[in-house]
Amino acid sequence: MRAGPLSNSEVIDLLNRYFVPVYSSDEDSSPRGHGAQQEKAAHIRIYQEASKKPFGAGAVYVFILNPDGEVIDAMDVAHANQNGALFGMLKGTIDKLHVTPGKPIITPSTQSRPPQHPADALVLHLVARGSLKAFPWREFPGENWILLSRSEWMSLLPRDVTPESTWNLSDALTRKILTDFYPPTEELDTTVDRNEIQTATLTAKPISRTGSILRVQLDGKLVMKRSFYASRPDNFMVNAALVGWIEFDTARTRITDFQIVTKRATYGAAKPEDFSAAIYSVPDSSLP
Amino acid sequence: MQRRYRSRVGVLMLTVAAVFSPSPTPATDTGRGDKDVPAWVRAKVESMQPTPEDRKFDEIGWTNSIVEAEKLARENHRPVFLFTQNGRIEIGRT
Repeated sequence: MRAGPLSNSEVIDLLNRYFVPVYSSDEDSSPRGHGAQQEKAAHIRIYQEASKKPFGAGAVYVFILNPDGEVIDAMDVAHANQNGALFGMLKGTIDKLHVTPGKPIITPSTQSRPPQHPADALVLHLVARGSLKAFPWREFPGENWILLSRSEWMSLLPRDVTPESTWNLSDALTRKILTDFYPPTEELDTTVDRNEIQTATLTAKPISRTGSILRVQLDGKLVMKRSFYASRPDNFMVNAALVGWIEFDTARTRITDFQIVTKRATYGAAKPEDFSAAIYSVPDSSLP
Repeated sequence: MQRRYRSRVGVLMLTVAAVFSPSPTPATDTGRGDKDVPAWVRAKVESMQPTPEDRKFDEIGWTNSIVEAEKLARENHRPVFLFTQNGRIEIGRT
């Protein structure tokens, strides 16, 4: 849907001018979800109401409600993804309800955002892309936001570092940084961790110092089992060689840059696909 | 507690700076890393950035919640468009 009708300019225009658009994840608002009770109650009410009507209901679905909250149309995503289907659904609703066009009720904004965090946290953004062509999960990149607390990012630089020093980042921190290095796969609940990390290492060594700026190179490896489908185990593996660097401002006691990327990486089993991933720090001033 | 933690961190950073480069030279290269790594990594990070096409989804004025959408719909006499899915569509983990 995201790469299909929800990226279509005509559909976007209709949604903004005539509707109040909202999306919801089942891991928040379904009966088994972790979201607010009021939100879950609203989702369940809509689902149950739609179920009793000819258009039905489902977990991955599109629903149209009139301004009074009554469910007046619905469509499964497989159908909604077909050429022109969603546009037709929206246009039909606009004509039936005689909706007056206007500006978007909510100003469009970047939807990929880090969670709320303390001011001294290190905010890391990860982007991962696979290389398969014409595959549903390769239409756009997968992203993650990782927060390192002050004590975590301070532990990246040990005491008494010399030009000859070499050290490994802690196991726990390395796993936290690397666990999302995989191309998009099926997700049913992103709070469930189905990764089995077999090897995760990040080794650091100083490479230069300019004034108070210390630069450290990272070399790493990740071997991790991760099934493609959430409820169908398989033998898919991530195999990745990694390289990166961290920049410490020793005068201001802060990390000014943190970047790790895949040098070579594959995901799969018998015929693994190449993929790329990058994780990098984002200063608060640049956050959406 | 916070002040003591900050001063310990400050001492750590000064220790690193002093041990690493006692002389006032402007730059010190350890000769241990691949000098092209930072530039190469930076270029790869840049190449991985979501494109405007990846971000078309963001051109829609999404409401934060179903509850809020229903409220705004009543107030503005508009229908609600609700899309329910698994995972996190906004970050491509779906």
